[in-house]
Amino acid sequence: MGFTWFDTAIVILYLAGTLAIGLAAKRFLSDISDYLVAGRGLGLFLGIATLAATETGTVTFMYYAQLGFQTGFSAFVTGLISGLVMLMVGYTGFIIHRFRKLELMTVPEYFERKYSRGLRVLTGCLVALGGILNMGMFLRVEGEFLVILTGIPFHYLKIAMTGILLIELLYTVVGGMLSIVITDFVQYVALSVGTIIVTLYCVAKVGWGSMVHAVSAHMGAPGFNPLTNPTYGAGYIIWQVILWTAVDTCWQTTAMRTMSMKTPELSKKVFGWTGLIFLGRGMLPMLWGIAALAALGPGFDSMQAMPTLLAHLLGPGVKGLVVAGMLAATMSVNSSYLLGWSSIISQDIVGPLRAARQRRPLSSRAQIRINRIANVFVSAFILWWSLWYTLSGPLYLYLNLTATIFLSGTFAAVIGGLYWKRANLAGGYAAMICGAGATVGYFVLNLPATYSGFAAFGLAAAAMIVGSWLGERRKPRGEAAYG
Amino acid sequence: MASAGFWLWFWTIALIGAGAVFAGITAVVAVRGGAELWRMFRRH
Repeated sequence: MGFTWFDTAIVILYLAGTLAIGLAAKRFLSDISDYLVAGRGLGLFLGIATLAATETGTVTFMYYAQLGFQTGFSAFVTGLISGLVMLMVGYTGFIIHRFRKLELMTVPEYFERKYSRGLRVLTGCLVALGGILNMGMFLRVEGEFLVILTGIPFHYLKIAMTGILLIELLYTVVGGMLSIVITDFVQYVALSVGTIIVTLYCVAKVGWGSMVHAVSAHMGAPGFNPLTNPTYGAGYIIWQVILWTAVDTCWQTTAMRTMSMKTPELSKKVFGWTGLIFLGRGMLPMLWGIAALAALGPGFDSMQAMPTLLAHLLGPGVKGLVVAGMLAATMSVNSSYLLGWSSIISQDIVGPLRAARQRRPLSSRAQIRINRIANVFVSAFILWWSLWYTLSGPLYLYLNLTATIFLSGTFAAVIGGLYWKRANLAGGYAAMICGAGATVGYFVLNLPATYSGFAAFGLAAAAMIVGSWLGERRKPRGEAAYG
Repeated sequence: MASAGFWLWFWTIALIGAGAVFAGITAVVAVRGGAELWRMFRRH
């Protein structure tokens, strides 16, 4: 069934409404703190909505559905870990509580306070590199989803991608975090309703029995047991627990939400509640992928299977609602990510480098201007990367490893800085360099993602300890030698 | 396949729990978050 005029009207109304809300937020914007962390004024429920919406995009549904299609019910282990880890971070306040107390705007900013300006700039560069490469695959995947679901001819994919980018760029550049918080709320509700509708459709139309039968027939026991599934196993589970702890605490867009809360205690509560949402955020789209396996068979393209199923499954009106919900998800994630990575460039690379050259600090207005320019450049790059880069292997693992470029070292240096008295600058540099270096194993040497990811976190932690120990021995000559 | 049976039950319960919690929190956040947003803008 095609995409009717009624579906199109729903989508246009939704887009126009969101755009108007985002642009209206501009008049509430007074300084850089409003722009980047919404004036640190978020309460519990807005905090939950904005954190969940930021980390749930069409790309999330696509990579989780792909995992479900490729590995069956075993994929659920990934969704379970992402939710439980966030729940634990919220319960314990590990890292996030101390971060919020420090009143930071970005994670690398902490490195200047604890270690040195040089380490802040190095971290800023690695965060920007990993973050932008990570976001680089979003547009293509989102474009594919929309083109397949709406029935637009595939040669319009590039136009669809550019359109998505322009809309989110417009209100991110103009409104900053305040507009994102407002639109995130609307988008959270829309994407959650869309998620529930699609799940009910999959279970009702494809059938639970068919899904179980399809996984059993095509994959056997490894389709259910993650410990015997070749994609997962015990090593993968441990790596994912470490990775998700790092994502929840040190990932720039998540950290920006921590820093936007009214109080440190509230940050913990928001993480706890959002952890519960993350269980469904992972497992429900995986179920769509399994439904696609049951309906289309294993020979289908793993990335295109889920949207193809939805294009056949959803009726008029419902399709429009789901596309609006997915566009909501897309824009909330991409706008936050654009702001997150651009803020790293303006706050942690340009700002500190100016300070190092004895230039006077930039005014709030100038910082916002640089952030907006960075937004435009980051957008242009990700559009180009989306068109140029060919993905080999599951999208989820590509995203994990691009994140690991900076997360492994950042995680070690943040834990060292916050919880270990002997952590010092040499350890910080060693952790960042070794952590990023280990991801070469995946990108250049084509080593399995689990090995590279595990190695990156392990090496970064070891480098933090050894580097700090060596740095301590050299201390009499002055720590400035490392800065 | 005995272990597959255990895992199928495990994932079925996990999925039902996750779906129910997801829907419940969505409803609460929609209502209470809307009120919070309204208060935030009245302050501005």
